[in-house]
Amino acid sequence: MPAKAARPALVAVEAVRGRDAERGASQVRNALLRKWDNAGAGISHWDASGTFFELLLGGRKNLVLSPRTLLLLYASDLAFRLRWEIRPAIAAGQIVIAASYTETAIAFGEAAGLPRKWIVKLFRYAPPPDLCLHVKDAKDGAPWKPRAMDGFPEFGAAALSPGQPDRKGSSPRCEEAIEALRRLKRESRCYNLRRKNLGRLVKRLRDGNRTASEDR
Amino acid sequence: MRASRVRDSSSLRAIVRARERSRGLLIAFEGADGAGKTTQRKLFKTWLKGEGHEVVTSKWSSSRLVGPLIKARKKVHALGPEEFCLLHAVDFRHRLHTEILPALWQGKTVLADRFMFTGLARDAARGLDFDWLLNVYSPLFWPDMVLYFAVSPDVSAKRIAANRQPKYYEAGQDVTGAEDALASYRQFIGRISKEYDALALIFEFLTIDAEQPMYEQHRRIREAFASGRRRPWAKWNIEALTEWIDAFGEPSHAG
Repeated sequence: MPAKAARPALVAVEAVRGRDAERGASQVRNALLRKWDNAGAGISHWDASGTFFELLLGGRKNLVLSPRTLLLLYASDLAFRLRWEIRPAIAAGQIVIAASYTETAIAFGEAAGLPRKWIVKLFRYAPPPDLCLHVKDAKDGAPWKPRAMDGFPEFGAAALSPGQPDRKGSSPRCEEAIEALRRLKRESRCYNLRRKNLGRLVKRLRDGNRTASEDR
Repeated sequence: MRASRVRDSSSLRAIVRARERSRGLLIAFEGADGAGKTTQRKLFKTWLKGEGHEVVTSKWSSSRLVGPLIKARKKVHALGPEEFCLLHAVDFRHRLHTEILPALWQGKTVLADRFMFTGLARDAARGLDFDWLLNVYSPLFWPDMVLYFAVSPDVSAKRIAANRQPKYYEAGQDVTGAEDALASYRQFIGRISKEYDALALIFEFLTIDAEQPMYEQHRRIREAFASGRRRPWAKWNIEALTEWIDAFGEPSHAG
């Protein structure tokens, strides 16, 4: 039987911790390659533009950012990823797994006190994903370590917690952000990413049936 | 700055109202390249200092946070319209939070060599949706006075060409696609001027004819300063200010 032709798609992988998002994205990519012979799938990572890395590298490790500045920075990085990674790959017929995309930033910004309406409108330039997946927090309830380069939630928590970057512990604002990210599953349109439903989600992508809701 | 969070909005408003009389004035200088804003800003700063004011200047795209990063990416033509817009919005918001507002709370006069209107005009001229742009720069922070140095696109192009070749993004070559920088500039500056003219009406700019002699312009600025009124913060800027206090704590006192 001939292999089914690749169908371009954008898959968002959202998580409370940056490492969980990376792990989830790899799982999705591996499942796609395993179950779908000619699927071209790549991962678009947070900070592909190097903006956050450069901020740390430039000796600005201990700076304090406002939540709004932080979200604008995330939006500029996402604009870079869309321009150089996501849109070209989709135009070439590939599947792009974005780790993370907009939901993590929206939840984080909202927890940090920003109006949801403002954040959602900020990301209006970003096309909605064909599939949004939420990775369960691997260390649910464990103490938070805001290691700035692990992911956006970690960078954000460090930037909102003056004097505490890269240290064990957290601030009240950081705790709120984590809690909001954990609520993602309940409040967003994301599906749970589990090993047992991975095959079904890949099939859904392949068949173009992206609206079923039994896995939510 | 302190990190304590003050959540009660009525207490935040009370802080803003209590500081209304002691806070400094914010005056923005806006206009196309080659309009002579920087020259007039320097002259005005010297005069203000002579009058005993404590003056702070904040320049566009100068934040320590992303200023060098923007410069480096512009140099290699790596920015798309959205990234260009958003990185400048980061620069603006960070300067507003860390330079402009702290100086104003301390009673200093702040001269902004370009303000958010520069971002709005340039990004709209690049084809970005104006409604989205207003959201990017929200909550808006209204200066007490916006001095708009109006100059025709032709004069602007002539003044720029007399000194140097316009840079890639300044000339709008990323959107016009023109090879020749000056030809692109002539085209792009026309679009920017239109956007500025619209903003001048919406945001009540004080227009100064930038084709008048330099001293005449300076005299008008002094007149405007003498007769100008401050915009009450509690009425115009409450959202931006309460957000600042919520993020950075109660401001330190003037003097």
